Amino acid sequence: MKHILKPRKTTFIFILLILSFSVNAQWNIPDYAKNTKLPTEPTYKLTETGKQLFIKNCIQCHGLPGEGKNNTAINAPDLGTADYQSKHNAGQFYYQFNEGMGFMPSFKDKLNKDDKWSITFYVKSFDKGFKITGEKIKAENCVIDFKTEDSARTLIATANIIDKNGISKPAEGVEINFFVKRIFGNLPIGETVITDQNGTAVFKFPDNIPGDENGKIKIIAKFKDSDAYGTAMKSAELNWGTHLHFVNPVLERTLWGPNNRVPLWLLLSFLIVTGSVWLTIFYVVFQITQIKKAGK
Amino acid sequence: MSEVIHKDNKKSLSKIVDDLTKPLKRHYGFTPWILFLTAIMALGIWAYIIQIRDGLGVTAMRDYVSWGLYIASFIFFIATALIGMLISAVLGLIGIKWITPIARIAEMIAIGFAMWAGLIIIFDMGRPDRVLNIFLHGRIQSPIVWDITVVTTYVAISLILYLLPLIPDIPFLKKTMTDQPKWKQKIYAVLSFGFKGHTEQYKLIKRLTRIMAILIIPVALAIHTVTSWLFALTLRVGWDSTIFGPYYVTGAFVTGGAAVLIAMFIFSRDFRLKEYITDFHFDKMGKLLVLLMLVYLYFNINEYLVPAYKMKTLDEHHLFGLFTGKFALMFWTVQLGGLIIPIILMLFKKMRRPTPSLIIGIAVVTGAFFKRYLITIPTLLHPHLPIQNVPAEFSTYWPTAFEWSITMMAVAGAVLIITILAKLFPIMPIWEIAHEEGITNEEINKFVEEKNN
Repeated sequence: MKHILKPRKTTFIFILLILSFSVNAQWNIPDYAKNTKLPTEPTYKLTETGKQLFIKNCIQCHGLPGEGKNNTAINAPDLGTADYQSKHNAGQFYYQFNEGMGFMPSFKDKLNKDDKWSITFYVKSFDKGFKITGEKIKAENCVIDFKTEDSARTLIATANIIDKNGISKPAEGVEINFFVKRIFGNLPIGETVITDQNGTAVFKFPDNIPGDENGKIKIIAKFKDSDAYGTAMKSAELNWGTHLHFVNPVLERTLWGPNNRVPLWLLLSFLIVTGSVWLTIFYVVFQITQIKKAGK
Repeated sequence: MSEVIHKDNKKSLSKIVDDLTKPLKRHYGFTPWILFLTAIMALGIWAYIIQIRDGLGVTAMRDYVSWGLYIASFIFFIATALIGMLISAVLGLIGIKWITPIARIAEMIAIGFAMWAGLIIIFDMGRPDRVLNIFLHGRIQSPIVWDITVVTTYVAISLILYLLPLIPDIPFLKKTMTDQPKWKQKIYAVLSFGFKGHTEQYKLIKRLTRIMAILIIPVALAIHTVTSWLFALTLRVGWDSTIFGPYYVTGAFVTGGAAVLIAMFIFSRDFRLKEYITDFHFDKMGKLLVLLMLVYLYFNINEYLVPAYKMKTLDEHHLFGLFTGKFALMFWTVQLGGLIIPIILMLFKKMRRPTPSLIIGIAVVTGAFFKRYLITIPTLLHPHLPIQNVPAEFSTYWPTAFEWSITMMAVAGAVLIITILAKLFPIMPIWEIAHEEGITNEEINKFVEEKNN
């Protein structure tokens, strides 16, 4: 696969290079941008949202900040480097990514103001001098749970964050996925649900998931963003699956089965044919011993 | 017509007995011949011991070609063995007279080759010590089990069909072989089954022979059809064919017919039986072989032309490999030299004389051997599910010296069985030839008694 794609990739990069030379523009950030006032306090919660938005919108060219997976062919910088961070404060970054230039598209109309600031906070979180307030969510402090409402096949999931005093607080806006345990891994089912301000989310379990002979099924709930909330999971065995009517083909009389389950027609044919041939042979052999008698 | 010829130069009973029992006592060239066969077999046994010690890795067989020379030889041996049924059963039952002097030869070939066919399967096994498991745990659904069943049955029936017409010959042997070692005379005594030449006894033997002759026809058809099914019941290109059964059976008759021609030549010369196996017999056998080869050619055309006309993607690779590719030289040599040219030549009366018959017979048998090779190996070189990054040796196959040695041991072994049988018992039924000469049972009994005194 790799060697098939290579020539195409090189041509693509080549064309981009020509384009970038022809564009040959310089960032021209006005001075006022530097002094832009932050609309809100940057919090950890906002940087988390920013990260998700960054992954959706920016990662193709820039890579995750600090990882060096940026596309140099179009001069897309790694936004996590100390060099970049020292030259661009939050306002300057916001300006750049709001206006765009050359290969950098403008996000003026693509994202709303809050989202754009979330991304800005996320990128600036790689600057050690940039202050972020609020509580940093630690993955190991998140717990997940769910209870069932049997009649309606409804799952009510709860996500909680336990703070440093050991007090559990509901986590709002956390995405939760549900799975069903299968032989090879977990099968995702339904859409992702998001917790409300009480930290709960309601999930309607579909009624067509195959279970075992008794309809038993193992349901698993996990945080979608395991980076932020950890790999905590909750599982429960319920009989919400459809009942499986499994007929093991190995137990039938088949051509591919073992010898004690040979198809009857084959067994009979084999026995009748070989039996009658060998009976005839034994008859003839017996008659040969009677030759002497016939001579008397 | 044959009777007219015989009546022109009627042979006396004492001459017949003398002619047919003399080769059992005279041993010109017998010892070197046996030593020659034993030497080939010794080489084969040595190769087999190495194969047992080091495993099947000493063969050229790998993951792709898992049936090599051994299985190709196995089909060839089964094929050769099938002629016993055609000559002594089919032709005998419809009352063809000229087969009398060659029926027993055909039966001897059948026994020799069928027995070694069974052994070749064991040579092909990496763990021959587990052969008993086929009987203990074999699945009746598997064609391998059917094959083992029919091979065993065919060997048993062939042995009985060889021994039954031999019983009335034993009194002649008892009387003429008195100067022979004790063990031989003991064998004769056991095999006589108390036969005294009574009319009732002749009747019983004829009846039993008839039962066996009828029984061997379906069994012989089964043995080679099942052998073909080992291939045809898979979905492999080149094997996935509905006509494989009759294709194999007719091919077998061609091989066996040619083998009988070779044996007729050797026995009539070496045993000085030209008066019994005459040009007339060669001519008849030659005509029969032409018929068999024409039928086989017809099946060949069906087997190759029909898929070649359609040229399905999978078939294409296989067929071009045979027609113009890697196997083209062998394929066309076999088809032309082993089938088409022999057919054309044998249409001429001159080519059905003994010496040309021998040469054509050898060409047909050799062609038949490599035809089995071409059926088995090219298909295996195109696996259904190719393995990734296979070693280069997987996709080629040419038998190693070990495989050739072991295969030659099997050929020598089959010839050895035929030789031993030919040295222990007359190669033609004395009593049947006497009957054809118009000699009655009373005369035979009188002759046996006379000698006794």
